[in-house]
Amino acid sequence: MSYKKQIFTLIKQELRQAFRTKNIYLVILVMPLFLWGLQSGIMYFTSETIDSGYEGKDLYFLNTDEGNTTTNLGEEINQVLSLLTTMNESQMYKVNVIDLSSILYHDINSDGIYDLIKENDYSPLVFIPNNFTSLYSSFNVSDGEVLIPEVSVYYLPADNYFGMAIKNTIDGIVYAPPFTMVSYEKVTSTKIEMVTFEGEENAESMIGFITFLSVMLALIAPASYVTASFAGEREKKTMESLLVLPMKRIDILIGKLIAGSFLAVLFSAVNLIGVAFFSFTVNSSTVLSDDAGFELSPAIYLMIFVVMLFTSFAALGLGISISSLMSDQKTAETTYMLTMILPINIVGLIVLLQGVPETLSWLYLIPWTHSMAVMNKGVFPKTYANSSLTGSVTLDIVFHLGVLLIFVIISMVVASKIFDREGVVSN
Amino acid sequence: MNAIEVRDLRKEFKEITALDDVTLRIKEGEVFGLLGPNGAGKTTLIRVLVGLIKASSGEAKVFNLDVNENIMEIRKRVSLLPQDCQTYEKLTAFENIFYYGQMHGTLSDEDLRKRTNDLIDLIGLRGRENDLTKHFSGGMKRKVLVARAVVMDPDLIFLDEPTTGIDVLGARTVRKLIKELAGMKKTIILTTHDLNEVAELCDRVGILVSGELVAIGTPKELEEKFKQANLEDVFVALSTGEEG
Repeated sequence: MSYKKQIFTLIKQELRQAFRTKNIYLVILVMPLFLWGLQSGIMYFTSETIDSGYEGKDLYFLNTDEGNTTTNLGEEINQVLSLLTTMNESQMYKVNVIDLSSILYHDINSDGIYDLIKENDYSPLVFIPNNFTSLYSSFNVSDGEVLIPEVSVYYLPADNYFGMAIKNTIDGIVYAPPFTMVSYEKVTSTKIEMVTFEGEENAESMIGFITFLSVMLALIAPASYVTASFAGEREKKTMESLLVLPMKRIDILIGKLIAGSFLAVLFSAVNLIGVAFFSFTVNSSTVLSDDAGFELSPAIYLMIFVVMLFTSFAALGLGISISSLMSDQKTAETTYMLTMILPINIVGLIVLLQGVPETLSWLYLIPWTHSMAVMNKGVFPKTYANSSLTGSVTLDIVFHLGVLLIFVIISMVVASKIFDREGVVSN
Repeated sequence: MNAIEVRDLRKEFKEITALDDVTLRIKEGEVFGLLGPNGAGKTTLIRVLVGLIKASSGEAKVFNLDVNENIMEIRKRVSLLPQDCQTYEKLTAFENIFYYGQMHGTLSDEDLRKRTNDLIDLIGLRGRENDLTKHFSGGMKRKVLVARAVVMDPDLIFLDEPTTGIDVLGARTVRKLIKELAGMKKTIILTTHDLNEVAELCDRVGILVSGELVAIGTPKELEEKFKQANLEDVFVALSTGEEG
């Protein structure tokens, strides 16, 4: 019999045992669908809440409009907005409109607005430019160029839905009296802009949480298999029987690795089904638009699949090393979980709360930071457009995937060395 | 021809000497009992002979092949039932035996299937062969393991305490199987703490104490040489220095 058939038999035996283990079904098939489904549910019901209002939320209003001799349209927008906060059928019902107009300079530019948001957390912020009334009152044409008065809504990723709800409200205001169009030239545009800052990888929007969950799941997924297949076999002394077969140790490792990889591929594929369901739910939501930067093209699906796979492979490699060093399955499981979950939680919390600031760039030494970075940048490219490491989000993704791949290779080489030790049989 | 030939074999684990210049010859077709108190080096000697660990010094040959140079060739003719080994509980009795034979790779699937079925009959598990072994008693599991160790029809079989922890009937079945294998001129290296079992099954006995082979011969020869009434007294005298 060829060694290939021996390896194939080993893979078959490993998978047969794996598919007779409830935990494997739970972690590989049920959990990805459940978590993405749960996230979809949260999104769906959050959307419902958004439609009904943002009671108690703060909205900053900065009107720099100089008006003309008879009117100041910026101020009128402010008044209508304030009126809407008292109407319980409005999305703005009981929103606190905080007028910054009296305390700030009127010649502020877009850089100044960014500084205001960064330093004072004035988010979301409605900004009326100083020439708003004059542009609206003119025929909107100057030297043959159409000039359109513009209301801007700036917000941090965390205020994603609220920002878009404000945009919808402003749209409603400028298309109603006293802003009703008297001729087709008289139009107002509402611009919306998510604000991110260089050097920070903000995933502060609620949907950023899903990337954290996905990476954590990819780390947990191989646990049950890898600890049973290595530490479990050592504990039950079946490893010893296996190692005296006329097979090279590396072939036994390869067989087990292929079985583990099959499970990792299966997990990644099931994860994609969860992502597709999530994407469908999010895109069905009334409050999210393309402006949120949430697009899932086939390339993004492929990227999610690859990053899940790389992450699972790296976890598999680490898991083999851990399980080959521990004398029993329970200790291996505990050590595995601590080794995987502790760093991902540190990375997850920091990235979710404040991104990866330059002062904490050591976080990139933890491979899962790269997994999260790929997921965040791939799924929300617009959010990270201003904060890429290489100048391009695509290049960033390639870089992070490259680092992950290197880690996969290193973890596998280390695993093979540890598995080749005499100590793998003599406890 | 010698099945096993060991000369000045030494194995050290840091400061512990597990095997202390052991020299030993075991003939083909012999049932050899390897005795010794816990930690005497029995399992270490077996592990060196099947290539699981390397000796610190000395020479070890199996079927005239050096274990350091020809271990894959040796393993094609050798099988091991490790001490305290368990079955794959998520596999059936048939799968446990059959898959192991497949991975050994020396028999065709057809021959292996037939041999697996014969062994299932022999160990008295017909009717339970498709049950997962997690539902089996300790004795049934041990029978499956012994069947697994011999399914590929090896020439040399290491059985490290094969009857430990199983009931009287289970142990009897295992002993019956060992006798049948001995009848087929298989070489069997048996470690056990049951000296009656040794007397019943083994042609010759070697006693290891603190890594040193302190005695070797037939049970009768040892009783005469050490002037003891039975093998147990010989064992006690050599292990502790006390008279039996």
